[in-house]
This record gives sequence, C-alpha cells and structure tokens, in this order.
Amino acid sequence: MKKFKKYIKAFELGLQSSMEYRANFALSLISSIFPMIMQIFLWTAIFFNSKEQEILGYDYMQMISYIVIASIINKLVSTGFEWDISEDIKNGGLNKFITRPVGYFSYRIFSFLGSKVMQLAVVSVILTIILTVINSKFSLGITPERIVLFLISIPLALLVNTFICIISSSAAFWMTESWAAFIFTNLLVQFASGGLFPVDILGKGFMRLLDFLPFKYIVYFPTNIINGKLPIQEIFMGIIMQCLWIAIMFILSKIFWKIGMKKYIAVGG
Amino acid sequence: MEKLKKALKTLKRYGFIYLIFIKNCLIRQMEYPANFFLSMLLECCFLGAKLVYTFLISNTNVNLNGLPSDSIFIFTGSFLLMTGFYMAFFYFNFSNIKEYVTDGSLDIFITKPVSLQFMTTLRYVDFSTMIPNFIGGIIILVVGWQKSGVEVSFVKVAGYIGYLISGVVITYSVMLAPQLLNFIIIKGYALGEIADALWDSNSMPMSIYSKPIKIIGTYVFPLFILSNFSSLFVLDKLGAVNIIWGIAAPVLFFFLVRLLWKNIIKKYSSASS
Amino acid sequence: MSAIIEVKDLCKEFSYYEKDVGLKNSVKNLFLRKKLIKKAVKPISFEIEQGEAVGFLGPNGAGKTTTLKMLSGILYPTSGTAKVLGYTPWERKNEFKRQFSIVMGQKNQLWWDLPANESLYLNKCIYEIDDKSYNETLSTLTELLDVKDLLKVQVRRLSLGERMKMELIASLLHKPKILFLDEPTIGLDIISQKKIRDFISYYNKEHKTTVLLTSHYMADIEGLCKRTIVINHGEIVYDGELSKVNEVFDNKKIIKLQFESPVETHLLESFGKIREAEDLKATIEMEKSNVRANIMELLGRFPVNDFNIEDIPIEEGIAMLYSKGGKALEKV
Repeated sequence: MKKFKKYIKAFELGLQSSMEYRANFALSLISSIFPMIMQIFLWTAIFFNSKEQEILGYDYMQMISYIVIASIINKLVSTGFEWDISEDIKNGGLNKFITRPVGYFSYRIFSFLGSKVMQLAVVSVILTIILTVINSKFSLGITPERIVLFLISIPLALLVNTFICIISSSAAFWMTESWAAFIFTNLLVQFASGGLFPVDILGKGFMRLLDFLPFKYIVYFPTNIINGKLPIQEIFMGIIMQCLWIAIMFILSKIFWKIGMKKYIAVGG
Repeated sequence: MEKLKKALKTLKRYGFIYLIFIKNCLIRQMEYPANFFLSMLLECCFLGAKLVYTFLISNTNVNLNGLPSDSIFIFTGSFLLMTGFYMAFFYFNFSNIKEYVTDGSLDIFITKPVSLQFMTTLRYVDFSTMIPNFIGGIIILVVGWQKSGVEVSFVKVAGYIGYLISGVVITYSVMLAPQLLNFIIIKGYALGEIADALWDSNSMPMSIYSKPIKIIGTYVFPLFILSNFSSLFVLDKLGAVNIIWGIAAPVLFFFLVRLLWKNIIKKYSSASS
Repeated sequence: MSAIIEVKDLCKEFSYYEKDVGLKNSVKNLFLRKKLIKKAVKPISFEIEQGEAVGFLGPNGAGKTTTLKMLSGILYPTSGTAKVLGYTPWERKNEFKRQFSIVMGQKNQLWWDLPANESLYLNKCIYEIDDKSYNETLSTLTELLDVKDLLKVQVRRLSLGERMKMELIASLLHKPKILFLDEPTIGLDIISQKKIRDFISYYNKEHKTTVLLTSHYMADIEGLCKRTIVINHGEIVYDGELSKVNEVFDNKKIIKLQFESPVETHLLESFGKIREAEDLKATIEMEKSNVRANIMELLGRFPVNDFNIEDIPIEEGIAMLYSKGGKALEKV
C-alpha cells in the first residue's frame, strides 16, 4: 500500500492545482459552449429553411440532441497533458522519475485524473440535467440498460483518448517540433471523434475508414448509445471494440515509450 | 500645420519600425524551415477541415435564412482571409502578452521610447499561417463570387476591400480585449480558448443566428462585422445602417480598446512584483 | 547643483494571497482567500549626483530591483516622489525614456534568433539615432568590448558573457545620461564579470554617465562604485563610502577547518570567536590581519586536513550594520 501512496499524492496534487485555477476551469467550460451553439444555430437554420424532414440521415431532433450531448461528452473525455509530458521530456524533468522509484506513466495518469475529477463532477451533473430535459422533450427512449451501458462506455472512451494522447506525447522524444504533432492529433481527434458533428454525415466511404480507427469510439459511439440511435446488440459490440482499442493503444503507447526512453537516456536526458 | 507635420513624421517612423519588425520576423522564420513548413502544413489541415465542412453544408443546397447555399463560399472566403490577417499580424502577439507579463519582457518594453501598445501587439508577424489562409481564402472567395453571379465592378471590389480593412481593425480591437483581461487572471489560458472559440463562430454566415445574438454580435461585441459585412456588401444585402456602422465601428472600438489597454497597463504598473 | 536623481519617501507595497498546505485548504481557498500585504520598499530617500556610480547592495528580496523599477518608470510607487533627470519616471514621457537605459541581468531585449546587429539596428530606429552617431558609437563600443566579429552571430549562439556585452552595447547606443543595471553579472563566469565591470567603470568615468547598479555580489560594487546604498527589508541601512562599509564587513574573516582526528574546542578559543565546533570541524571568526599568522599556527599545531577562508556573508554584515546603530545613514 505504501507504494501506492505516492500515486494517491499525485492524484491529490492534480486535484489541488485544478482548484487553484478555478477561474480557468469555469472559463474553459464556457468556451466549449460556443462551438456547440454555432452548430445548433446552423442546423436549425438548415432544417428550418428546408422542405426535407431528414438531412444526411438525421432529423432535426436527432441532430440537435446529438450536437448537445456530443459537446458535453467531448469535454468529459478530453485530455491535454501532452504539453506537460513534452515539457518533461524537453527540459529533463523526466530525470526526476528515472532516478526515483516512481513510474512516470502512472504518476502522470494519476495526476491527470486528479485534475479531471472536479471537471468530471461538474460536467456529469450538467449532462444529467440536459439528458433529462432532452428525454422529456424529444423522447429519446432512454432505458435503464442504456444508461448502464452509457456509464460503462464513458470511462472506456476516456481511456482510449488518454492512450492516444500518450502516444502523441511520445513525439516529443523525436521531434523538437512536437507541438505540430500534438495539434495535428488534436485536430484529427476533434474531427474524427464526432465531437463537433455526427461523423456519419460525411458519407459512407468516410465511415468505412473510421471503422478501422479508434476515434469514433471516443464521442460518436457513447453519444449514440444514449440518444437511442444504436440498437442494443451493436452497443455490446461497440463496448468490446472500445476495450480492444484500449488494449491496442496501451500496447502501442508502451512500445513508443520504450523506444523513446531508450533514445532519451542515450542522449543523456 | 506643425501638428500635422509632427504626426506624419511619427507615422513615418512607426512605419519604418514596423518594416524592421517584418524583416526581422522573416529572417527568424527562415532560420527554422522545419517549423515554418510544419506550421504551414498544419494550417492547411485546419483549412481542409473547414472547407470539407463548408462543402458539406453547401451541398445540402439549403437556404440559410435568406442566403442561397452558393453564397456561403463568399462568407467562407472572407472568413479565411480574416483568419489569415488575424493569424499573421495579431494572434501570436496577443497570446504572448501573458508571457511578457510573467517573464518580465513587458518591463523592458515599457522603458522604450515607442508606444507600448505598438511594440507589444504588433511585434511579431507570422508568414506560415498567413499563406494558406490567404491563398485558400482568395480561391474560395472567387469561386463563391462567380457561383453567386455577382458582377466584378469597381464599386463592389472597392467596397469589399474597404470592409475587409474595417474588419481588420475590428479584429484587432475585439480580439485584443479578452487577452488584456488575462492580465487580471494571470496564467489563465482559458480566456484564449474562449476568444478562439468565438472566432470560429464566424465561419458560417451570421444569418443563422437569432436576432438577439446578431444584434449583440454586430453592435455590442462586433465580432460578426469582420467577415460578414464585406460579404453582405458584395451581395447587396448590407442595409444602410450597417453600411455606415461598418465604417464607424472600427474607429469606435479601436478607441475603446486603447482605453482598456491604458487602464490595464496602469493596473499592471501599480501591482506587479 | 541639483541632483540628477532625487528620491523622497518612496514606498512600494504589494498585496498577495496566502496559500496553506493541504487539500482542505485548497477547498477553503475556493471560497475565501486571505489577502496579505508585503512592504517591498518602506519609505526611502536619497540623492544621486550626475556622474556618480552608486551601488545598491542587499540580499535577495531586499527591495533593490523594486526601487530600480520605480526609478525607471516600470512600477508606480504606493507613495512618495522621485525625480530622475527632472522627470517623474512613472509618467513615462518619451523624452525621459530617450535619456536613460536599464539593463536587467536575466532578461534580454535582443531578439533571440537574430544576429545582434539586427536588434541593435532596431534600437537605432526606436531611439531615433542618426546614421553617423550610430556607426561611430557602435564601432567604439564593439572595439572596447572586443565583440566586433560577433555582431553577425545569432544571439542564441553567444555565450552568456558575450550576450551581456551585446545587451550593454544595445543600451548605450543612444548615449543615455543614466544607466540602471540590475544584477548585470549574475550567472557570468569570473573573467566575464571582471570585463563587464571594467567596461562600465571606464564608461562611467569617460562619459560621466550616472550609473546605478544593484547586486548581491560585493565584488560588483567594489570594482565600480565609490558610494554604496545598502538596502535590507525595504529600508536603507547604510548610505556612504564603500571603504567604510568594508570596515564593517571585511575586517573579519571566517576560517572553516576540517580535522583528521578530534580536536577539543577550547584549544581553538585563543584564535578568535568560535562560531561552530564539532569533533572534526570548526568555524572560527577572526580579524583579517590575524588570518595569516593564525592559519600558520593552526596548521602547525592541529591535524588540519582541509581549510577554507571566507568572507562574512552580506546578511550578517548588514545585521552587523543594524547593530552598529550610529553609523547608519552616513553621507559622503
């Protein structure tokens, strides 16, 4: 248990620092609302002015509920520690961990989770309220089993995103311009995860491509559980896929890190 | 007469100093070709994402509250051009301001006999993000111009450029304000996130928004002016009131932001340690 | 003749928030934060004549940099007045800015990725120096500091010492009447430190430029300034000739000894004041004049296997100044 104590401490420190920057936290929540609002207005205008009931496979209620739920989930599963990690790699902060009996990965992840707790708490409350409202207005057909599956899929989605972030952070071992890799990964995830708009409106070809990638399981999949679009069997399949991707990403991240650490130590930190 | 001469002399001097900034920045970017090309490539990716989405929307062939779907391209083009201006001339300066505060560079700027605001907000020029947005923007603009069947007359082009300039001034004023508020909330990157999120709300014509939002976005925090007015003018959809507002607003808000700047610096000088 | 720098009752206070350790306090902080006031500079007054080279000496956090920032117009004081070259610094008039320079040891004004000459040229435009003066001054300064070949080298490739020299040149191009230097030699190797000091000294004598230098290195002040103002906890503790300060600081030395086998403390008492003593270590304070003789005797009588001769740390010296009471605030 003593061994575990230091990770608990890392968790605590993450939590504390997130509370210090509370204005920051509130503002970042607000900033995630704007893109969502724009999307809502856009699609409202499109549907309002169109004679069609269904556009690109969605009717109005479905589109709006997707946008709202997806934005919130996007915030829930967001990461962002690649900058911290690259700082450690660049400035030799990693040395602290090589010379001390502390696993870097675990430290970073616990610290990250600690800082996430407050965000998770607040956003979960918001999500629950929004879902109740939408459910009563648009009758999404939320059943208890969907809720359970949804609650399972969220931490899984977070893990998928976390490991993608870890792999992307390892770019700092090889590139001085690692910022480019981070921003590119962020953009890719934003676009392909379905955080901003439902990715299936991009067409069948694109969807086939996404089937082979982990991204849609980050936002698109959980959202479609709770808004009733996915049938139950497919949800089970999806959760299995999430676990599969977590395993793949975990292994990949370990590999990348091992190679990167070798280089790091060879260069001398 | 004397005052005018003096003003011109100062303008000339600042113009010269600005040219040196540009020269220095160009040399600096050439120093790091990897950085330059990566940054440009990344910007192209952003551009690509925006264009994919724009094509998608316009393919629905729908009318956006009075705007035919073909005209979307004019708006997107204007938006991209504005983004180019913003990224090239202002963005990096504005987001560096909180750095200047924490690392003390601001102190050094204060002691120089040039306008602090000039030095801080215009020092860096970035070419890597400018180029994709300018090129992409102009191409899409031309496409939209043709598709919408707008004629290429002197009035249209001159008016468009005029409102583009007004948009640049508004961009400066409106995007600087949130960063200045960062002075009070040091180490807060979230204000920058809000500013960027707000910026992207211009990627679609403002006709999609409800009336109250349009009013706020045009008259109170005139974000929408920057890419919408130029586009609306070209489509003959800019009302008389707005034609005048498009000229008055940049002047007004520039003065407002100058006032804010002076106040914030005063606060900084009274508080910093 | 009126002084070029006149400071009267200048005072600066900062407010900040206290943060206690622990999770519980973090949560408390979310709702209620305790505001504290720090008195960085308690009211101070002094005058400096043109051409003087004055050192501001004091430990870290004493208020030296804060005072300098107020005199250069960077900070507004909480109360009090100051006149530099007849101007109130924090009004930040351009005519004032053109006549002084401030160089801060750890902050560059030069563009990092460009050769130094580009940054220097930018300064030429900012300070509106004409071509002839610029070329002459640049040539003279680069000769003096021996950096003529380094003008075309990017600043980030220069060593710390070379960078400092370029910073100095950049600050002297417009021939300022006053030069403020904040910890100019910090982080430099000994040779560079001396070169910089010698240069500033030369420049001060040659051009009658008033120099105000802050440092926590005694050597900076010794080589350069006749007069020293010692600041501690925001107050002026001593203002006068350096040599007199030396009397207070330097007539004592500290000897640190290491023994191979235990030495009884009372055997060392005759050599000076025992500060610390264990079996194998001892620290003795003695008069400077006695050091040589004492060391020879100590080495002869005791199993010394290592020793160090040190100055009394500034903080102690200042505390000593405090206790000397009557000697404080002596003006030349």
